[in-house]
Amino acid sequence: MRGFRTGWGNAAFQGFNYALFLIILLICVYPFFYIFLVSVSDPAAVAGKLITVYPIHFTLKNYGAILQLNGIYQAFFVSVVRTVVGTFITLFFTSMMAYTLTKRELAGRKIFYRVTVAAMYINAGLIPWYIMMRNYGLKDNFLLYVLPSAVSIFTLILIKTFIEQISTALEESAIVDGAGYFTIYYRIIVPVSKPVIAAVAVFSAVHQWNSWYDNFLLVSNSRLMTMQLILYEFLRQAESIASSVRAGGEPGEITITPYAIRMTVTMVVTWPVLLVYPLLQRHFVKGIMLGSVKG
Amino acid sequence: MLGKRSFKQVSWLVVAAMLAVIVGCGGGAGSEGSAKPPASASAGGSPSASGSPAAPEPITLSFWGPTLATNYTPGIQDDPVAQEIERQTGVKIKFDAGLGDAQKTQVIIASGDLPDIMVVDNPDNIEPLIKSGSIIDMQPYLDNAPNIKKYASKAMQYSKFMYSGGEDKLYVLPARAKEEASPIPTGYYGTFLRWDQYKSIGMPEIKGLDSLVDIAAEMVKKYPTTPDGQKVYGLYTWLEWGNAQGYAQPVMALIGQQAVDTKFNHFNYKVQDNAFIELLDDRNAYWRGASMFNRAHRLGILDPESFTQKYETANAKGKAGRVALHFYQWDIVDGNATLNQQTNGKDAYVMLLPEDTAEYPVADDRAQPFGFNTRQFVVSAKSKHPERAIALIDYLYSQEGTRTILSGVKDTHWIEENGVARLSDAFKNIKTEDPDYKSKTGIRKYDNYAGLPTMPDANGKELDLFQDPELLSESYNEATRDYLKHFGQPSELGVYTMRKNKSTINAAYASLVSLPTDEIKRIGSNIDAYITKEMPKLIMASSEAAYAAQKEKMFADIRGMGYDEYKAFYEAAWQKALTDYEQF
Repeated sequence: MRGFRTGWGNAAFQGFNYALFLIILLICVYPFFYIFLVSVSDPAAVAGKLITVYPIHFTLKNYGAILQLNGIYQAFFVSVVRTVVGTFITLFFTSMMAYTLTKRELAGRKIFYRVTVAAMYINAGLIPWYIMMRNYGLKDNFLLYVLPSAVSIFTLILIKTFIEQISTALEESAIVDGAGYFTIYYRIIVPVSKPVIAAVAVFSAVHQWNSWYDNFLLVSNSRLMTMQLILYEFLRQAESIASSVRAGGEPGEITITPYAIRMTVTMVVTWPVLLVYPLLQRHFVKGIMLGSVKG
Repeated sequence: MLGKRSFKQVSWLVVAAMLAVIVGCGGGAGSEGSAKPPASASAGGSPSASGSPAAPEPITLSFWGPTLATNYTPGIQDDPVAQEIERQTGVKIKFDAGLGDAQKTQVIIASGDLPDIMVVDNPDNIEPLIKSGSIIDMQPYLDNAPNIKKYASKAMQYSKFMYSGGEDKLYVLPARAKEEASPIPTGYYGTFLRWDQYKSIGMPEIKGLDSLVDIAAEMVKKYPTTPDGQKVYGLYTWLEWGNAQGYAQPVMALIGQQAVDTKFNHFNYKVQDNAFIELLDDRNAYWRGASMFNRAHRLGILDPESFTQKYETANAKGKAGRVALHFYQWDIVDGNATLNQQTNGKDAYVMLLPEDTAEYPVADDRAQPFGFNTRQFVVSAKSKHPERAIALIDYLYSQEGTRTILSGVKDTHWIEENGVARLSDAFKNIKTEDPDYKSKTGIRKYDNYAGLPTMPDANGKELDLFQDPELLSESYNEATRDYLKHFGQPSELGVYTMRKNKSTINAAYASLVSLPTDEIKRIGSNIDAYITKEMPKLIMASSEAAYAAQKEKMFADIRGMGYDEYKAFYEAAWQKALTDYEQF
């Protein structure tokens, strides 16, 4: 009798668990599913709030409009190159700086570190930043995408904290064998720091993939446009055109509503991240925890 | 896991890719048309002035300003209209990404990185541009700008008065100057109801705003849903474009008011006698509009999403025929397209105005001798070709140039028969045949960069040939023809012009109102934010008593927000504007 009651209780508890987590799952997934539904439904049905759990008058014209945007494929290539190159540069310089900041023999190490961290909080604003980038010759230059983010302060703190936990015996034995600092960094520190580097790589790649504001302000060369900017411009222009009627523009020209475009653009830019994230998630979680023990 | 050797190979590949992209793509826009040494000033003269000049040396000039009217790809524009502009002026026109973005505009102005030509859409930006020396005085270049001198003489006078501190310098050139008042053939304000439905309820007399709401209620009662079962509302609005557009604009033209402060429309004037109407005056369009919407709410016919929806949602409702009463002609175009299809032309939204009395002096006639102060051309001091820039602007100020922007390329999209322009037979139905025609042809794409408004040419034909009354009449369906026959008029605009009580707006007055100080801007923003919060409560008041109480509360609260100083500023600025206008 006791075993029977335990079995029913357990089953009820399990059932409740499954039901609760299913509800939580639906709550988390439904908004994104709704975005997908809007992106493939007729705009009139969307405006009439008729979309619930299935598309109405299924259409791919929103996606068609995006795929036909001028320069979208070139922009996709630029975004991919930016993501790969930018991530590599960030990893290289940030990890190297993090390692040097762990060396007690570095003169002024504390000052360097404090000034670096202070830069996270002090910001001169948009216009000084623009003027600085222009004066560095980064206007209309691909290096604008990758050089300013070469050292990411938040990830520098993560990596530095992780490296400080590595046993000094490893380095000492390498020094005894005649290794210099760069050799130690390259042959010992980097391989041992792979978890946190993978986490930083994910952060950096997502940041590079989503970035468009530097392109928006400082790049007018069409061959350097990123995909995010082209999509953002498409959406922004649709919204401007929709509201231009009051200044004497002509109505009746909106075949794809800005709302539908917004949803479609969300889908297009999010899918690559959604595909990559689960593969790297274990590194991401492990790396964050490893780097967050001491701040 | 990658081995050491594989990691090295991948690393070198990445570096090589980086170098390839940097070498291939970085380093500027040299490939998009380099600026060549300037030709002599006379070589850039407008074709209209000099007959058949030698083709000017081709260059690229960059523009910045309001957004284009269609989707565009940043860079040199290559649609047919842009190509025609290049043929006529030798200039390729280049637009950067982000047109119309206020933040990017501020960055451009603050950094001094102006494009060759900028159309300034915010008068607040003019003074910083002049003080920083970022823009040139265009006066020395006007000898070869006959169209600017012909069509913008008063606008230039205004510009010198407002921006040149008494010197004879022309830093800013306002566009769209129109000295003679004329109604806009399309795009006007009024009240619009469905003709067939209006007839079916007995064509009741439209005494005023209240009776318009009652008529809308009667129509909603008789026709509560669309053919596909969606609920119909009597009235709606949207606040995405601001409180002024949402509450005041629907009634302003009907009651013959115009804004003194163009940002918030808190202070207005009576078009007929220029009398100043303060915000805390029951006659102000805000309260007339609120009263109308409150009546609609109490009759249960106000769209409850009016306070939260964006224009695209509202437009979708209008397009689906879900709203009985509209206030803007451009807001019924989509709805009429749907109605035409649903009813086989037997119904249409048409203009049905309140009674022809002094209380409703509908204002649709407009003169703007000083042009728009939200469309003002400036030329960068860093431009390598200022004379060519002004020659291009002069072309945009010509009737030929404006017609190209509004109607397309001569002999492609429009033709001249016995010297009279009209759209070509292949093109005159393009709006219905191809909704995407603007992107493909460039027609109206550069609307915000046209120097002139649409106006009659020497033969009386509008520069915008799409507004030709003969062409418009070909598009009238059975319902519209029946409506026009009822009023004995050839066009909808005729129903307006036949009124005894109507007003002519002279937009020059508002152009002369001083720009507000920072303190006045602060007070105005606070009051507008307060209206955003409290006006919905006023409109949703469930009784006359509740409405009166809420309005009294709002008046008292606004008074305590620095209102007296705010009102004093604009009242004085208005009187000064009226005085200053005398010298023009």
